[in-house]
Amino acid sequence: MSHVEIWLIVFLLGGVTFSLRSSFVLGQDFFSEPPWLRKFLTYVPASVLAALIISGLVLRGGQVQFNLTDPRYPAAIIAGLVAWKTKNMLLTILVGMLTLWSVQWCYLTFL
Amino acid sequence: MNSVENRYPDQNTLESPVVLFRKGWKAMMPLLIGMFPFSLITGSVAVAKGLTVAETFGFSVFIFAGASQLAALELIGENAPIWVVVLTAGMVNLRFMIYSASIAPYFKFLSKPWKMLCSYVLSDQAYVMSHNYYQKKPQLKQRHFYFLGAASALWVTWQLGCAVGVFIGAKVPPEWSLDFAVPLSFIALVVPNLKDKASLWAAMVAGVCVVILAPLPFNLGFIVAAFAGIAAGVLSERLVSA
Repeated sequence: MSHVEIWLIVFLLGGVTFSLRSSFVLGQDFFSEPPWLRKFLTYVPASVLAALIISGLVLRGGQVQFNLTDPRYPAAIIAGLVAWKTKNMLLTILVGMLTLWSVQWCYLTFL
Repeated sequence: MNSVENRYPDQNTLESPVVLFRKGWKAMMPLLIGMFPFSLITGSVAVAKGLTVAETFGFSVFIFAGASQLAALELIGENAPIWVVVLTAGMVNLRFMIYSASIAPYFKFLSKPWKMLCSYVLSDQAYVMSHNYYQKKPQLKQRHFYFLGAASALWVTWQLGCAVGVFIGAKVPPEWSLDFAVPLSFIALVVPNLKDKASLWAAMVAGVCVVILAPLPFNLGFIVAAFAGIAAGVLSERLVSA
């Protein structure tokens, strides 16, 4: 991807993000919030982030590449359990990385 | 002394903007520890995907939203078309509209430049923290300074973490698989929020659909999967309440 394209992404995405952040703070003088919107937006983080996680784990360049011996799978599952139990972002990332490295090390040593 | 001041006695000791700003800044401190590695990863992933230092700071200053920046970087790495990158990464930020709607009444009487500044620094943490504080002190004057204190603490940490990430990013060997911290940080963001059945349905449907719909061109599968997940969440909520 060219540098012009990357800067284009920076400004377009920056503009979109600022519009979303300012939507009601700036817009409250002009319109009131439609009641269905909040219900719809409630499920955006869960849905979009889940799609991002799964596509990052299972897809490579738009192709499904599912390999059961991929050390990222046990690491992702254990990180998910840590996140569920502790709600601690730092701990989730650390335990996930340590699990990944341990499994990688086991493969290199024992296989 | 009028009745409003009587109801909120501590409002009489007028808190100065500086005091409020520092209160917000201090309240944010514990959250910064969890935020720093996230910003560090965002900075180092940007460099790893081939972005220049200026472009990396373009991301962290103009977008200033971790999950969205990482989503954009993933797609840039896959050479996705620009509109797909902007639309996908923009969708990750749709939650800011909820925050904006929720916090808007507290900023109602500010001038336009202040409203713009408050909007720019709006983040998950600053929103939640200020919202809780304002519910305790609803009549507080100059209350936006509390929000700005909390939000700017996060902003500064984000830029610093990004700088450290840029600095060490290029020196990290690829065998360390540090880029795996990206899906891990998404897991850390989303899993604790799957407390109700509807959110769980939204996540599961989106996750399954993104795999099934992978053959669609231009990453369209991703966007369709995200909407399918949202629809599943709304539908599940309807069915439970019906």
